[in-house]
Amino acid sequence: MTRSLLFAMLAILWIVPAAAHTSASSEVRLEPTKTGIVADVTIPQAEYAYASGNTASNDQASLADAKRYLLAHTAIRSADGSEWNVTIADVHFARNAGTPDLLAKIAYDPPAGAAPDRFDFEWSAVIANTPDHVTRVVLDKNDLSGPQLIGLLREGNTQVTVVAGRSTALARFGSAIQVGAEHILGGLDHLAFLVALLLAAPLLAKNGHWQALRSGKEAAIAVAQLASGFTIGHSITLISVALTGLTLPAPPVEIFIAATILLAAFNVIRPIFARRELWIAVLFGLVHGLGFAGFIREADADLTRNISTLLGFNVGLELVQIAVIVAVVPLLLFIARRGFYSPFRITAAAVLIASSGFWMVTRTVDAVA
Amino acid sequence: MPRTRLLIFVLGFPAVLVAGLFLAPKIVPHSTEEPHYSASDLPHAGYGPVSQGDAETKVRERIEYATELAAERPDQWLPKQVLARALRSRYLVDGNADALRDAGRQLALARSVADDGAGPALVSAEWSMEVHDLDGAEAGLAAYDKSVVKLSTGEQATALELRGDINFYRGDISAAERLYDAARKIENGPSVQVRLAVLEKSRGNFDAAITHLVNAARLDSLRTPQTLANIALQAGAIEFARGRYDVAQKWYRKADELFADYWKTKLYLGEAALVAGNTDQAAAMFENVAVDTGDPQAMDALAMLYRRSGDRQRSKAWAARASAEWEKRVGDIPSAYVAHAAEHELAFGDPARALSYARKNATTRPNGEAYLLLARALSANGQDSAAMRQLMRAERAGWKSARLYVEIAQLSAALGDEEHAAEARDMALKLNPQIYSPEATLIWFAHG
Repeated sequence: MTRSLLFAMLAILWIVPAAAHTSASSEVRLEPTKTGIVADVTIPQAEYAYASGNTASNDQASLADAKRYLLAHTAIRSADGSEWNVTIADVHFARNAGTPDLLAKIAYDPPAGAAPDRFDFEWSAVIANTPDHVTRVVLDKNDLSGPQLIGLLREGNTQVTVVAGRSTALARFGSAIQVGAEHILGGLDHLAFLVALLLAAPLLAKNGHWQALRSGKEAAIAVAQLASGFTIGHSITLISVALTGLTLPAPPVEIFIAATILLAAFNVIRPIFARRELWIAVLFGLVHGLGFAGFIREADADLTRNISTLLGFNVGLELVQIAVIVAVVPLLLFIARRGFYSPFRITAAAVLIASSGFWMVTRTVDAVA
Repeated sequence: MPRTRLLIFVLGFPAVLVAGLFLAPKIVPHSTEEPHYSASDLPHAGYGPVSQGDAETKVRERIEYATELAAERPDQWLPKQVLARALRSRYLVDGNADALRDAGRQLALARSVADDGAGPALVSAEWSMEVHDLDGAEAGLAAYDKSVVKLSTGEQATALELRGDINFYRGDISAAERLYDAARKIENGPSVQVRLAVLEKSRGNFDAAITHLVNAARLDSLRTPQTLANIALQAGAIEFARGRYDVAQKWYRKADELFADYWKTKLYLGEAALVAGNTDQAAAMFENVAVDTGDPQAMDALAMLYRRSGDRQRSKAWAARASAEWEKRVGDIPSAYVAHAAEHELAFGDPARALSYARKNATTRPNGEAYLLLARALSANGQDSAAMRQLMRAERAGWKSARLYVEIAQLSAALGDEEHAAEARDMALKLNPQIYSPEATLIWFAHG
């Protein structure tokens, strides 16, 4: 047997594998309003034309067909079965990015007495006769949790139960606190800097060395000053950036934040900014504030929309800082009074220096890359 | 040691260590990195037909001769095997599915007249693999083990390779790799290199897969233009699967230079044209293949092209023709075509029928690709949780493709696991940065 023939057989085997084509998808974004629900609809134009058999064009007749098609393929029903009134507020074809789409805005209004917060959303446009077409249903309550995917609708699965409800200002404030707390807990660098500041708080500097311990009251005042300075610093930049829209590119800010940890850790070993801790905390707080601001601008623009959510984000940061202080400071004071604080703080400083060095290197490499 | 030096050591050492650990892999080149081959790295072609027309003429002559020989010696198995191989060659040249089916029939006849310990055992196993019939391939290999005459080390290697294939398509990629390595030790031929390419591609190791293909071309002693063209097409399909459409097109053009008018090359070049925005050119190429060869994949590709253009009438017409052809082929050789038929039904037909086909496929070939297809069919039938389980099976089996991770991302998001969805999206983009682009929805053949 010639190996060549076998080789040719393999070529056959492989050259015609069952394809796994990528399917196109539509999106319906539901947004609760004071009176009902508004849906922003995006359907790939070609998929609409294929599924409906209608012409995809912006002339009046085609748009009327598109309205009729959409009205025939969507509904909302309350739990008691009552059907909502559906109005097509806008429909047109446009190319926003990539392929052209059918874009529509549909208003759903509940009948009198029907609860607007819980309902069944029905959608069969395009998916009715197109097995691989998927419609993503997204609920956007306009709060900080962001838009949530609540269903993938397909042929044979054309309904999703929605628990809507507009978010209140209080709920948005609460969500902002949560986002702030999660952000500082997720970013070890901010906490590392805070710990570096706290490590030196029980100590008094003399002749360029840490030589004595502060009393409990003095240490508490020092901690309060450091925490306040840090808070004032990062709040100033955070609010300034939010109000003015100005910010620095993330990579240098992130490298600078790592550098503040490095300096604060060296200060734990030997006092390099003794009696200037408050101003250093403010100054470095300004840098960390740029990092927080960069996060909220990139991750969640809703945070900067109003002062209450911005305040909530800041409150979230402070709550975590306070929790860390409450947990760490008594422990530090306890260790300080036991006579082995020096090796403890040197070891802790070494860990912080190694960590900050690692962050500086990786962030620089990433920035260059 | 003075205190300051001790301090420097204590502080400096971990910092240098951490920095060194991080920087070392970036500074020192990765020793296992694969060389990056391009179409110009293929060796020159040897003797053989240089176009589809030439090859068709030659294979017709082979079939005529083999048919006469088989008719003259009806009680001998060897002429029937010769005819079966000629018919398989026809399938390779023009995609005629009847020829593939008839080759199987000739092999069955050959087995029926062969004495115990003789007969077309290994060729039967190969044919079974070709039609995705793993049990049949196993039976062929069992018969080969009982063969009285062991012909060559090449055959021993082939038997090991086929056992590797069975493991691969049953989802045990590691076992397959071990068997391929064992085969390579006996004879490092082109066929094992192609198999290793398939294996590496399934793991998402695209450069390694292309390297094996180039090795296969270099190790092939005959290097017929058609064989090299097939290698070029496979390499191009790998580049396509990772979103490098321009590079893929160069491989496809190389295939066209090597072996002119090849119907498979037309399909892949058509797809490249489609992605580049040349819809009319792509439609012409697909239609040419669909009309000339009756290939239902070309019809499906055409139906999808018209669907993506919003042309319902033409899309439905080509889908209907493809549907009839798939139905016939599934009737002839179910194992070979159920996966294709499932894909067709998912795009243009009935999701319930797609699920039925996908289940059959996953039962007979329980590998990552089959699990992915089954997951998509389950999803199309509203069974998202069951679909997710199949996707996880595919991932656990070591299967890696952008398409797999797209599905995992979509279903994870639908099931409320946004973190998993984000990870899967990152993985999909890592394997193919273009997977979420509008062009990706145009691709029918070379997704990977």
